[in-house]
Amino acid sequence: MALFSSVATVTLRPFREYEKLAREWGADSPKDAALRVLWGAARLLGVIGVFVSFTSTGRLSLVDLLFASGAFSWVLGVQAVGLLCARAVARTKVPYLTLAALYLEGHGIWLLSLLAICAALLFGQDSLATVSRVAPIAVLVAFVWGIVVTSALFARAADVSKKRAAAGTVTFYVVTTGLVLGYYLVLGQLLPILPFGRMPP
Amino acid sequence: MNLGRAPFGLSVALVCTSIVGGFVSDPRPARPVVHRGGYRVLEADFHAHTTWSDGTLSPFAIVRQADRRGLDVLAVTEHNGATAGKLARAYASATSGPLVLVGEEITSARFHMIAVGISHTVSPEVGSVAAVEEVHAQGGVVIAAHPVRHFWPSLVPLRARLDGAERMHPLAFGKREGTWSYASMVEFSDDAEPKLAAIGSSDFHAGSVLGLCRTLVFVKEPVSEASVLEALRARRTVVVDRDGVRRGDAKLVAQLEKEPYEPRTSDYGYRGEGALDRWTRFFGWLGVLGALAFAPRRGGASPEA
Repeated sequence: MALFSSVATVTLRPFREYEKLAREWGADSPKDAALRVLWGAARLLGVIGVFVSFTSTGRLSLVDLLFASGAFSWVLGVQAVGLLCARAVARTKVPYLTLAALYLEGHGIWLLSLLAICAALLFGQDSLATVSRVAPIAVLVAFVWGIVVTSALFARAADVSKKRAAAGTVTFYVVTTGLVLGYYLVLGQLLPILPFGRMPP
Repeated sequence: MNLGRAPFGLSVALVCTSIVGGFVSDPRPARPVVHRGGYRVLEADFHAHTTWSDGTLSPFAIVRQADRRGLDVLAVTEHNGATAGKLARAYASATSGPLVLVGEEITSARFHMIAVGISHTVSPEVGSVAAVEEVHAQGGVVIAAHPVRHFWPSLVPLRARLDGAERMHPLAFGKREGTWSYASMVEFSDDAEPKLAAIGSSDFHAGSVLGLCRTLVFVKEPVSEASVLEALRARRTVVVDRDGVRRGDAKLVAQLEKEPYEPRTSDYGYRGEGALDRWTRFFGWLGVLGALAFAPRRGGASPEA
């Protein structure tokens, strides 16, 4: 497994890998942890950019990739706040930057899900019919497995009791979901994204 | 190079190759000047969203995408806000992109209306009638957005005040029936008296559908925001429906029968044009997957290494 990246192994075996990573990264200096966070953030935004570029143009277009990465950087902000709250609720002593770096290693299933949707569009015989079948499954799998991975983060890397780990996980999802919905509410955009009164896709 | 890093290096090389290929193959369809019936023919999409709400393209990227899709005119119509349209218009002006009109999809549970050519946001909370009056007061036009039966209780009483209605929309390619059927959308336009401008819109949120349904607008020259709005008010529009039949202004439809005009890009663009394009798309996808799977572990020896 040494050949594979930590994001790949965390996706496949989240509990075991988070335990190992926590041991390896536990002694990181703040500078090292910050570098890991930057790398994880760049990876997430990069794949989002790839997704947008592929789904809108069918190609990897550098300018579109950069535009999309910038436009979706709010995703990182939401996750940062969610993690801050979750850390406080879980009462873990793991430094915030280390926890954030570990958390960012858990995005693999979401990144894979985005690439699966791209593949459906690029390589499917009937692009839209294929993607309409693939996308809901990909997103559902990513959402469910993503929760498992976040649970693994708090259970094995945060060094807290099971109860606090569970509280941290729940807090993270409540805060991140609340922030996204709150953003749309403040901008008057909530109604269009809710099922009633909105055009179905 | 460490043998363990070779897969990652190869993946990065594939991604770089794909970016170069994407740059080389990225099309910008020519937009020839075409006249019919004494008017300049423009291809327009009057309904598109951005990352400002529930779209995936930024207000800047959507201008590039409109250019790529061969559109002459784009209205950026964010839900209940005009800011994204203003940003897109500024970017288009700075980059010689398509003509961008500031718009808004005035959105409530009871109605969705497209405002085009406005200067500031129109709130849906003022009610549908007041919203239409406010758009007109700002010099804009109002188009019924996907006027399926679901929205008829609000839109039918307003119909005489509207300037246009979406006659062609991606709903046409779906299988929705009942209150969301495409047939009811068509019925809304066909029953309108006086006639409304026939509008074809993509209702773009994500993917490559921008301009999939488009409006042919017959404008007086010189082309400007004002001339496009004037054409919409005068109902000088034609759309091609899902069966390939032209709908809209009867004289212009007849003119196009005599002297046909085929709208530009109409496929999704996912297939690639030529071997280089197809292969670099595949390399890009494979390279990103490989880079994620084989990225080197940083710092601290892995227990398995």
